[in-house]
Amino acid sequence: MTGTWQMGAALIGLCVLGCPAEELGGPWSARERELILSLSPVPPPPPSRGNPVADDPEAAVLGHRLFFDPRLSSTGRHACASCHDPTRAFADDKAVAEGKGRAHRNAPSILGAPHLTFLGWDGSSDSLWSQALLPLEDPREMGLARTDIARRVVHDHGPTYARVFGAAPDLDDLHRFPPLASPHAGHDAEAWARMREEDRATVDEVFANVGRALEAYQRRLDPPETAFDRFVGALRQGDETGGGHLPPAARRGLRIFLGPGQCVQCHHGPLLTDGEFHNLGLPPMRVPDPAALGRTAGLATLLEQPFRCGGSRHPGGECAHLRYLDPKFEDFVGAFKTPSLRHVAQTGPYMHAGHFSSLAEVLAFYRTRPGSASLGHRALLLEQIPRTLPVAPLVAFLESLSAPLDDPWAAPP
Amino acid sequence: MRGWRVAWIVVLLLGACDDARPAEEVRLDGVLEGAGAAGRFRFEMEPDPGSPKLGEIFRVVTTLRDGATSAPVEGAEVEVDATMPHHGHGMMTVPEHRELGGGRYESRGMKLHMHGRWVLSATARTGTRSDSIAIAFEQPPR
Repeated sequence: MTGTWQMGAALIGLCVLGCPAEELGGPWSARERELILSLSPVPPPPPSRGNPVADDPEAAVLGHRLFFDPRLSSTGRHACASCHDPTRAFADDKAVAEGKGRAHRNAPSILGAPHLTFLGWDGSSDSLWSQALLPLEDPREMGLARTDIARRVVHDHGPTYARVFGAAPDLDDLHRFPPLASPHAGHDAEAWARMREEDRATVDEVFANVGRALEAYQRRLDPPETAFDRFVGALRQGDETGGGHLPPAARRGLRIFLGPGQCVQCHHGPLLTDGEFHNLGLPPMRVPDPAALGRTAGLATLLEQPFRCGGSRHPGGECAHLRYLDPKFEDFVGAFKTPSLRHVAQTGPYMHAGHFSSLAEVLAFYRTRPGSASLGHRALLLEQIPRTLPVAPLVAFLESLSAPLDDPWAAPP
Repeated sequence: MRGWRVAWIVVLLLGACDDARPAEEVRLDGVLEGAGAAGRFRFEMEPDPGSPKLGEIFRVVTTLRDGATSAPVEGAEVEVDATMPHHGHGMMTVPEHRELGGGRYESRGMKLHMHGRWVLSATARTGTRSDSIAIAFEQPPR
């Protein structure tokens, strides 16, 4: 009896690791069912951290206009929507973001971003509104100085701004508010330092309000219902077939995703991300990447941000998400944020620097795991992924996580 | 029954930590309790909120009792931690520990960032005695 059991167990083990996906059939186990139900639907986003107008409709209208406004770039040609293109699930088709220059990071989709505690591939922001400020000043992206941003918003969007935030300040005095002044590298930091503190605070308040309006807009962008969501809805109602909303290949892919593929270990919850940071040991990019330290560098940057929770421009609150965080956590070295898999078929190239152009390439990497981490060490979990990982069913499942955006907020105002 | 289960888990953890496979699934949805490995103390670890969600900060209140008399033990240093031995990592947070009084100790800043098998551990030290406990549990995907 024992021998029979052992042989059966060995066969099952071999099958899970090496059998063709077609043989991974059968009804969903209790564990699989619990996991599947945890992946859908997407709930409303949690309350915003430090943005009193996050759910103000008028603020969303202002944010909508700002999001599509190329005047908020030094070139006059790049809006937020240039890299976060609504026709590409609010991502783009480039390896790394391109604006005034070439950035180091892939532009991620913003769908689902209001759910995240840490924003950016390295988590260098802890609110959506403070994250939205970074590309505006980055010389490689939109490249405007802070005083310029404030002045343009007041000039171009004054009435709407006033309805949301009250009367806009008068920024016409160029001695008090020099045109290119900004604390950000790449701008006139000396002019910023010469400004009076109350004038810097005035500019910072308008600047922060730009981020708050942009967050209010992004909170209106609900991830659309996908074939996978309909499948889960039917399963929740007791239909073990999932209403036929997933083709057989996608169902096989889902089973691999939940089981031997180990994908669900990090891609869990309704957004299919843990929102955390992991080192995959990706191949080095051909271009130098000064921020390759990933989460280690991102956390150091975050703690210096004046607009972070508890920062000089965002006082108050317990900020528990930062208070207990271990800045020396060994696994943060070379780690980047787990991206949401919603709409993933529409958001390539993939990984933080656009390492792979297709989902098949991504999965081939997980299967073969060539090389080793150039910084830190590859997450141990990856070693549990079988080298016989079937790629095609997983791609079929991942493609079920996309749906067309039929949302008036996705169109230019 | 529960005490037997915890003791069995502890034996497994101490004997072959990586291979521990409790027959029953334990979840962190209430008090996890048991005797320390040395039998000097008894630990009652209660999460707050009672069923921590993935990725959310929570605290653990540990009631420390004498292993022989079950009387509350005051004046000890109690530290609680959580690890995923099969993944080779612990939490991304550093909890803060303090004594509440009456044999109760608080550990704030706990966070479980992945679902799956975790081990909740606690150590307790007084001037003359020390003890520890480790209890495996399954964190669900929620």
